[in-house]
Formats: sequence, structure tokens, C-alpha cells
Amino acid sequence: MKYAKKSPWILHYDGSSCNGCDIEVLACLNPLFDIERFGAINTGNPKHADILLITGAINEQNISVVKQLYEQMPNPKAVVAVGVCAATGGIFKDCYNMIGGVGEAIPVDVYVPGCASRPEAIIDGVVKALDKIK
Amino acid sequence: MRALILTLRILGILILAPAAGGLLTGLDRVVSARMQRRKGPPILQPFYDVMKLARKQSTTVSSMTRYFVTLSMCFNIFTVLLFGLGLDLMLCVFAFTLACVFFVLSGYSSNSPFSFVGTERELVQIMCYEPMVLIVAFGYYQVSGSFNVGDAFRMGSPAVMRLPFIFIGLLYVLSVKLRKSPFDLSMSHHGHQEIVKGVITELTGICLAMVEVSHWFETVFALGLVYLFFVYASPASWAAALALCLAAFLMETLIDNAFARVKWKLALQASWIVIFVTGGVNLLLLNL
Amino acid sequence: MPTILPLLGVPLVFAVFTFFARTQKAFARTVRAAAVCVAAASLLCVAAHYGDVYSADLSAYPRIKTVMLAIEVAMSAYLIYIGAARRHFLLSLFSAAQIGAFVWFEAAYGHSIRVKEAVTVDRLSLIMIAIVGVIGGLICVYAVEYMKDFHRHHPEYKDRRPMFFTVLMVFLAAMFGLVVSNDLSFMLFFWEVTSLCSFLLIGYTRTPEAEKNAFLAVVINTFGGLCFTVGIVLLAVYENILDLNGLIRLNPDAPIVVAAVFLIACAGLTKAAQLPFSGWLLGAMAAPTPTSAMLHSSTMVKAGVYVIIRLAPLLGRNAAGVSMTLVGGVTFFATAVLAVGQSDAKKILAYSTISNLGLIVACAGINTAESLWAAVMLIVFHAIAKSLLFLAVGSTEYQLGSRNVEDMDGLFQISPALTTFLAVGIAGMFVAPFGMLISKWAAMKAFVDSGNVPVVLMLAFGSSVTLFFWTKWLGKLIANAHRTAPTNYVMRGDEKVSMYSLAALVVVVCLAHPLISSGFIAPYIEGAMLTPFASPIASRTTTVIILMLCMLFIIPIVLLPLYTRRRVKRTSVYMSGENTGDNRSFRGGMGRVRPVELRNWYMPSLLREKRLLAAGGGVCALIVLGGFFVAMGGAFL
Repeated sequence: MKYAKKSPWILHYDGSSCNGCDIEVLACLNPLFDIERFGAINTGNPKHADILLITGAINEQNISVVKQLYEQMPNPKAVVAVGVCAATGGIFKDCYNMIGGVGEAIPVDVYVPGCASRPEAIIDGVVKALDKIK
Repeated sequence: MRALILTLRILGILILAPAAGGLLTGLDRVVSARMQRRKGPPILQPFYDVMKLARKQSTTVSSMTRYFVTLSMCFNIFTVLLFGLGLDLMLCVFAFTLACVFFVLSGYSSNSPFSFVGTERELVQIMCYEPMVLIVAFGYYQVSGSFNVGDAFRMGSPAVMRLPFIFIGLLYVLSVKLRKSPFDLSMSHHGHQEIVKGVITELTGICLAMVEVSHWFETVFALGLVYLFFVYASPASWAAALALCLAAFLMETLIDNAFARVKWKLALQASWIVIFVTGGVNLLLLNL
Repeated sequence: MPTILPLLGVPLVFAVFTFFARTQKAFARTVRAAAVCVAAASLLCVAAHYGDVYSADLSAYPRIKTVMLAIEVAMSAYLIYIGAARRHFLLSLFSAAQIGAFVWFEAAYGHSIRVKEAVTVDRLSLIMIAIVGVIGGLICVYAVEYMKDFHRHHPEYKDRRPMFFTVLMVFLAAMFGLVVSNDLSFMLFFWEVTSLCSFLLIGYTRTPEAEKNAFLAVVINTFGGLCFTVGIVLLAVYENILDLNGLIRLNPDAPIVVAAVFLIACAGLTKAAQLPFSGWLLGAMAAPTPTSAMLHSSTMVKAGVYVIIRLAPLLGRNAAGVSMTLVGGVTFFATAVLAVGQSDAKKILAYSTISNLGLIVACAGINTAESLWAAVMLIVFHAIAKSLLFLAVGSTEYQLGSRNVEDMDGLFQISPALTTFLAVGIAGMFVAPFGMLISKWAAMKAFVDSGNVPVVLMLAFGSSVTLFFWTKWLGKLIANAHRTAPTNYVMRGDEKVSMYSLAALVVVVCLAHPLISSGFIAPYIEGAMLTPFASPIASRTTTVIILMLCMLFIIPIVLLPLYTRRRVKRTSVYMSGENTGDNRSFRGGMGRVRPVELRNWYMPSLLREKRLLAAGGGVCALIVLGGFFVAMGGAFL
């Protein structure tokens, strides 16, 4: 799948978060970072996506949604968990409705650290995830 | 010998048309990016996308969708073949319409909310541009004396001289056909999202690749119509017309980046008014 | 004559049999036999007279005319009586005026005009005979089981099937009579018979609604009959002519001819349900399906356009021709737009029928060789595809308990056969390689050639609207919704036979259209126009069309093993991750599970049926009135 590396289409999902990482993900699209340089597209549609990019944590409400989105993505696919909340639940970890990081719902391939993660780090995470969908 | 030449011509069209369509789509993405002060993807990006999609796993929500998508692509290719071989323009229009109908049916067959809404909008868009395409064919017929595309190369002067208003109308509906903003109601291209992905929301893998390839052929056919307006007996016009087609395409890119999406009602009313005025005035002038 | 007489005789004989039939078995046997015999008689007639134009002189039998006159007086008396009894005085008035004018004319002039050839069978008649015989026969076969189920579903209606089948048979006979008549008074007689038959068929259930619609139909058609009679009287009195062949050789610019032709063509408009007169066809949809199929696909409305096509050599640039062209064009566009707003399948069919007839009328109106070719082709293809659609919708209504297009999204899983019939019929109506589109193309070419810009524009816009409403119906048919069969209806053998045959005909006739063109239509046009004629569709183009048709069949057949072998993973439909798993519902706000319902667009904010109908009808009425005043003024001022 050498072409897969040249055209990573991304589905972005935001779980329980403060929306900080969310905004940084959008920053990747702007002229300064321009993730489309790598052929990446923010599809907003699991059926078209290669990479599921999740910001924020998993809670009782959204776990089924995340699982279904992952389920609907065709193979090969990769999951990138962006930010601390997506990794472990972050500062929301002890809330009454919280389950934890993305790993609690679906298998994660790349964890991007940061609170919020920087756009460079997110792009780096996406590029790393490309190795997983060979 | 004639069969050999015909085969070679068909092969040439089958290779050149998608190559041109893909490059134009890539160019569109690069130019769009530059208009937004971005670097943008490589110009070959559409080919990478299609290669990736073709090798990805295919999933489906309905057993019929694949048939419709394949039929749609076949008839799109068929349209461009007819056009490239210089055959009847009306036949091209009908084959093209058939391809569009199959594409719409693929959306219906998924019975998914997002593709359904996209499909209805796609139908409205077909209703927006179809009269103009027919009028273009009528105008061409009146000017050249036949529906044959090949006869354009024998005309004494370019068709646009006598069909200026119809040409304006065609440019207008070109954005509807190519689903460029402000008329990207039914589905949108690359980064844009409208009702998720509209008609193609449920398509994956090879089906999505086929839709992309059909779109290349569609683009080539749409620009072929523009080409018809500029070409005439002089060989210099053959190259000049190509350049003008490219200019028309880049103008669509500019419009795409400069306008916000309109609602379906406005799209329909505006296109019909434009078609009625441009087509009507021009046909009346021709028949005076 | 030995081949023509059975056309009238066979259905009439079987009409007697069905009149006395009482059991389902008896109906089934007689009607099946009748259908086979009628179809055989019509094909035999086509085979016998393919080579020549057959004419018969009936002046040696003056009794025929007396009998016809007697029957006509009886029919009119019935209509006058029933009009007065049910307080539809307009009907009595029209009928009385018509019969009065006709009797006076027969007494004063009838015998002084000698019609040499009362019966003429040319290629156009042959096409009509084949359509009426074969398609009419198939519809009758379908009706056998359908009517049985009809009374099972509607126990509240009185079972009057003997009358129903008898009238159907008489109707077929009258249609045959109409298309072989050359003597205009014969034609008028059969014309009146079809009007009366349609009255009886539409009013079959005797509900207030059916009665209302039946009276609407008969009032409009009697008005047409009155126009027809006055037209004939004008011709006979001023031009001393009473036969079609003589009529079309007259000077098309002579004022009196224009006036007479205008009146007869107006009669055609009423029967073909063109816009100011289309109310009756919409109302007739309340009747049982075989009635709708019979009236709106192969017989009644086709009689209207048949007459206008017969008059075509006298249309063209005169007042009659211009008004027919415009009325046809406006009707084509306006009713196509109206069809977009309908979800009742039969109503869509009704509007699309009116729309297509409008196209035929417009084609006849401009009177060029190409447009006549298109008009006749349209008649052929429309009759086949539309009757298939009507029959399939009738069965679908039993199957789903509804004929709403929105309920058809699960039809494929319940009845693949019915879905296929509907899909073939719909495709036959508007998509590329099929017949309607070929003829529409020729029509467009003819209009562009004649430089008639308003009609060209109406055609361009109307075609795109047509595409819209057919495609959205087709889309609903193939939509993959999960439904369970609401009724336990099973298609019977008779119904299957007629629908399979019609579906096959849609494809076969499309493949054979070059033969129909060269074998029937071209000779007819050469005879009517007295000029050599070549099909407007070039042979190279025909090859491509047939290639497309082959592609339509071959591609899926090639793909089928490929796609069934390479199985694809099924996933759920995308609903923002909230699909409950069965694609039928999703988790909505507040954790509630909501069903998914997908509905087509009907654009109610843009399309208001009543207002549009009034606008279209108004425009057409103005055109007709304008034509009337110009034609009459030219003749009598």
C-alpha cells in the first residue's frame, strides 16, 4: 500500500475534552501547517477515512459511537489518540461518567502527547500512523 | 486498416481522457490551495487517492450500489468515447444523462440518510443544468448544420461567434455540473464537507475510486462542450481552444473559492432564469 | 374486407359472450379467448395489408349509415336523458346540439356527398390496429384476475363485471373502427362510442366520486364530439368533402378548411386530455386500474392524437397548426412540472400521459416529416411503456396496500418481479437507449429545424423535469429499505403473462424501431406528405443506440458473477455513529430511539398543484380561444 501513505484521509472525532486539542487539529489545516501537503484530507466520514483521529476522552455516552465509527471504517485503518485526555482520560478521568482513554474503546496505534497537543506533533502522529496502514 | 485506426483512437481516448481529467482535478486542488496561501498537495494527488482507494477494503450497505456505480462509470466513459470519436452530440448528452441517472440510483440504493439527501440535491442539480446542455446541443446543431461533433472542425468560424449567450449560459451551469461552490449541494470535493459527503457517503474502496474516475471523465466531457465553442477549420484554433478550456476550468476554481454555498431553491431558480434568458435570446437571434 | 371485418366482429361477438358470463371461470375463459382472437385478428390484418393501402367502397350498402345513425341517436338520447336526470345539463345540451346538428346534416346533405372509400387501411392505421389489438388484449387478460381481486378488496361495490368486460370489448371494436374509417361520419360514430364507453368504465363503481368523474369525462368528450360534428358539417357544406383522404389534399390555407380542421383538432384535444380539457383524465384515475390502462395508454387518448396526426398535413403555419403546437408545448411542460409534486403513482402516470400526448400534439402541429415520424413513434413507445406501468402499479397497489411512491421503497424485497416491471416501464419512459427518448430526440430535432424557439425551450426544460420525477420514483423502487409485506397478495398467471409480455415488448420494440420506422412510418409519411422520406435517426446513430441497450444488459451480466464471488463486507449505514445497528433507527437526542424515514422531494413550496393547473389551463384556454377566433374570423368575416 505505498499509495496509502500518500493519501491519508482523516476522520476527526472529539470526545470528552476541553476542545483545546480539537482546535489544534483544525490548526493543522490552516496555511501555516497545511496538512494537505501530504495529501491528507479531513473527510468527516468513517467510510472514506484511513485514520481515526480522536481528541478527548471516552465516556459512557460516546463509547458506542466511537466503536461504531471504527467499525464502519474499511481496512487498513489506524487510530491516533491526540492529547492527554485521549490517552488516559486526563483531567476528566475521575468524573462520574468517564471510562478513560481511547484505548478503552478501540485499539490505538499512535498516542500524541500534549495538553493541548501542538499541530506539529499531531502531523507527526499522523505520519507515524501511516506506517501502521502499510 | 480502418478498424485498426478506430481501435487506436479509442485506446488514445481511454488513456488521455482520464489522464487529463485527473491532472485537471489535481491542478484544481493545487490552485485552490495557492488561492488560500497554502502549498497544497502534489499535482498527481488524485491519482494517488484513486490508487489507494482501489486497493482498500470495500464495504457496502447494499448489494446493488456497486452495479450502479460501475454502470455510471461505464456510461461516462462511453460518453467521452462518443464525443472523442466525433459522433452525434445528442447521443453524448443522452449517454451522459444515463450515467448521471445511474449515479443518482447508486445514492438511492444505499438508503442512507446522508446520501439520500445528497441524491435528491443531485437530482435538483441535474434539473438545473440539463436544459442548458440540451440547448447547447440545439445551438451547435443550428450553427454547424449537424449534431456531429466532428463537423466542428470543418466550420468556417468558431461557434461562439454565433452562440455567445449560450456560451455564457454553459459557463454558468458548468459550476453546477462540476459541483463547484456555490453549487456543491449534492456532494463536495476534497476537503469540503456538505451533508457529510452527500451521494457518495456510503461508498468505500473501489466504488469510491470508480466515482472519482467517472468524475474525471465528466470533467473532460464538460470541458469538451466548451471546446466545441472555439474550434473551427483553422488548425491554430484547435490548440487555442484547449487553452481556453483550461482558462474556463481555472475560472471555475476561482468561483469555487470565491462563493458561499447557496440553497437548492436559489440554485434551481437562478440556473433556470439564466438558461431561459441566455438560451432563449440566443436561439431567437439564430432564428430571426 | 375479410381482414377488416373481424376487427370489429370478434370483439363484438365476445362482448355478447361476456355479457352473459356469470362465473369467474366463464369470465376467464371468454376474456382470454377474446384477447387471443383480437390480437390474432389485428396481427393478421397487419400482415395482410402490409404491402398495400387497402380501401373499401361501402356506398353500395347505404343501410350501414342508417344503422349507425340510429345507434348514434340512441346513444345521444341516453346521454341527454342521464344528463337531465342527474342534473348535468351541460351534458344534455352538448349532446342534443351534437345529435341535432348531425341529424340535420345527414338529412340535408348526407346523401349528396358520395364517399368513394369509406374504409382505408394505411400503415398508420396498421400501427394503431397492432397497438389496440395486442396491448388492448393484454390489458383485458390482466383485467380478469384484477377485477376478481378488486371485488374481494372492495366488497362495498356492486359486482358488475359482465357489463365491465362487455364495455371493454365494445371499446376495442370502436377503436378498430375509428382507425380504419376514412369516411368522417363513420369516424364520428366510433368517436362517440368511445366517449360513451369511457363514461361507463369510469363510473363503474357508482360511488359519488366515480359518478362525478364519469360525468366530467363525458361532458368534456361530448363537447369534443360537438366540435367534431360542426367541423364535419363545415367541410361537407362548404367543400363538399366527407373523407379524410380528400380532406388532407385540400389547400391548408383556405379559411374554411382552417376553421373545420381547427374544430376537429379541438375534438382531438379533448380526447387527448390536453390542458384546458385534461380534468377528465385525472379524474379517471379513480377507476379500476385496467380502465386507466386501457383509456390512457393504448386507446381513448390515442384516438385523440390519432385524429390530430391524421390532420397534420393541414396544420403547420396556419391558425389551427400554431394553436395546436403551442397547446401541445405548454401542456408538455406544465404537466411535467405538475408530476413532480405528486406522490400518488397513478397521478404521476396521469400527468406524464398528458405530458407525452402534449408532445405528440405539438409534433403533429408543426407538420414536418420528421415531427410526424416522432409523433407516431411516441404513440407506439408510449402505449407499451405506459400500459406496463399502469398494470404494474395496479398489482403493486394490491401488494403494498397503497400506491404511494413513498411506500415502494421496500418493494424489491417483497416482489422483485413487480419492481422489475415498474423499473422497465419507467426506464422505457425516459432513459437513453429506450424508445421514448429516441422519439423525443427526433421531436427536438424537428422543432429546432422548424425554428420554433418557444417550443424548443419548453422541450428542453420539460425534459429535465421529466427526468427528475421519473428518477426519484425509480430511486424509491431500488431503495433498500426493510419492510415486510403488508398483504398476502400473490400475482396470478394472467397478470404475469400480460406484464411479462409488455416488459418484453418495451425492449423488443426498441430494438426493432428501425424496422417499424422503415416498414410502417416512412411509407405512411411518404403517402401523407407526397415526398420521399428518410428516418431522422441516422443508421450510425441507431447502431450506437443498440450498442447502449446491449451495454445495459451485458455489463450487469458480466459483473454479476464477479461481484457475487468477491463478497464484500456489509457495514451499517452511517448515521453519525448513532445507528442502532439495523439501519432502521438511530439514537436521537435524550437517548430516545427514533426511526429513520426517508422521503422524496415534492417541492410543495414551489409547486402548488391547483395554481399551476389553473395557470397552465388558462394559458392553453387562451391559445385555443385565440385560435378559434382567428380560424372562425378568417372563415366567416
